[in-house]
Amino acid sequence: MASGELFSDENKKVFTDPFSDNNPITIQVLGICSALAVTAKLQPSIVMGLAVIAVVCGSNIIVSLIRKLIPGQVRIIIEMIVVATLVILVDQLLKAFAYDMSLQLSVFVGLIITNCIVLGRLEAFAMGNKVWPSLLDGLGNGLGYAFIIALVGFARELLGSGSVMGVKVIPAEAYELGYSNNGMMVLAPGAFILLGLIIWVQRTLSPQEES
Amino acid sequence: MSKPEKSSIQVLLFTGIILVISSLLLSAASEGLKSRKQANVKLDKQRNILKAFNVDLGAKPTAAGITKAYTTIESVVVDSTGTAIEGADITKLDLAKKLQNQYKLLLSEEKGTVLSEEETAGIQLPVYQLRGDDGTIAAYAIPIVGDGLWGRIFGYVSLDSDLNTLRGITFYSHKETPGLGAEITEPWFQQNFVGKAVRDIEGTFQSVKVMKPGMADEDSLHEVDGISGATITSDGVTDMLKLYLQAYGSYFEKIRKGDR
Repeated sequence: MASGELFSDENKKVFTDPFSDNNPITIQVLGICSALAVTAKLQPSIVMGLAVIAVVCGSNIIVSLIRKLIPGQVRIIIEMIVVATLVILVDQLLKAFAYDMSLQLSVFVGLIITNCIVLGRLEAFAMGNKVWPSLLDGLGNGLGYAFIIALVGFARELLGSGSVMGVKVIPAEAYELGYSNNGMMVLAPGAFILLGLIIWVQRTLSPQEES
Repeated sequence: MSKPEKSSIQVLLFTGIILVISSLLLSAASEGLKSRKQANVKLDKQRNILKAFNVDLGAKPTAAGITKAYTTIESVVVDSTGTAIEGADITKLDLAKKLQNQYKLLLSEEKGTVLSEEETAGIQLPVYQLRGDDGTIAAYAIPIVGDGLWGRIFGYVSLDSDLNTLRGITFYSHKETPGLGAEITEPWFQQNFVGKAVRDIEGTFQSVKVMKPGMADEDSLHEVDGISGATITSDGVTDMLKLYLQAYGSYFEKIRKGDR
């Protein structure tokens, strides 16, 4: 990162890559656990996405700030402490300001600590880059993650519960005509199938070199 | 990026400093948000009790609205013979752990185990009373606990002042499958219970059973439609209703006889 410009081409690429060519879920296939667990409805998916954005950005900034001080031998441990601290803070804030949501997300907020995306970005990017690009990298990856799980959450809620953000959108007449909600969509296998489809579409649009 | 190895002292010092900063931050956050978190938990409980009483709070109940509505609710704690326990603190009683223990006791008693005197004395049953506009008690609510498919189910059920007609039911904590067992938290399921009767015309205890979907006799006051694909959750709800309506039986009997 030689360029001092805030929005140099290189920085833009750092930010936009995770949306398409290097999406954490569809290309790197990271963070699948939470993508399956919290996406039965749209609203918790969005809140989970926001929580992950906050944690990835925060930990990327902090680790990037202290990257020259971190001893190589204990680097992963230090990174985990930073991530765990931020996740617990987010969890506490949710409990204090969005109690209903924290009840719905329950243990999965805590499990952001073990979300590979977070540690992956720290290791792959923040440890070797300045603060500003690290923030962009975190934001890009967080948004890339949030976008995919919101998409899955939207489709699962629509097909599984016939609603969007808790509002019924499938008219009652449709049910009378024999339409019924797809029970599998509210279970984890539904998320698996949707994710598979999204990955398929994504990889067809931007073919990757198989490594 | 390869890093120069640091000496053990440096590593320890650095890790120590990071740990101290982290703990300080977390303690500060925990303490700073404590009152807010506790208020949320309390409000959530009040909302659930009001919900069990079928009190209409509107689509988006505000904290002030809930607190105001809750002023019509009083609580007592009774023992297993239905006598009110003087000075028992209901806020302490309602801790999930206490309810869990009592649930185990009640369950073993139902299965035929004779409880020791100490165990019987340990049973302290909370009752919530809803005051009507005329000052009399309009309804009673009791906490219920049971086993679903994946874990414990917690809720409240309320009865009209005749102590026979179900006024409302609500579940606030469970681990059931979303879309299947978790449908117990949906209004369509909970509304099934409203107006059902605990005893038949002769006054014999019948409880209310959750049947397989579509199998409930529409004329029966003791059967409600269950959830497809959630037989174990439905059975759990049936069992918990029976267990707790019986456990509170002597208290209800006392009230019916006019002895408050």
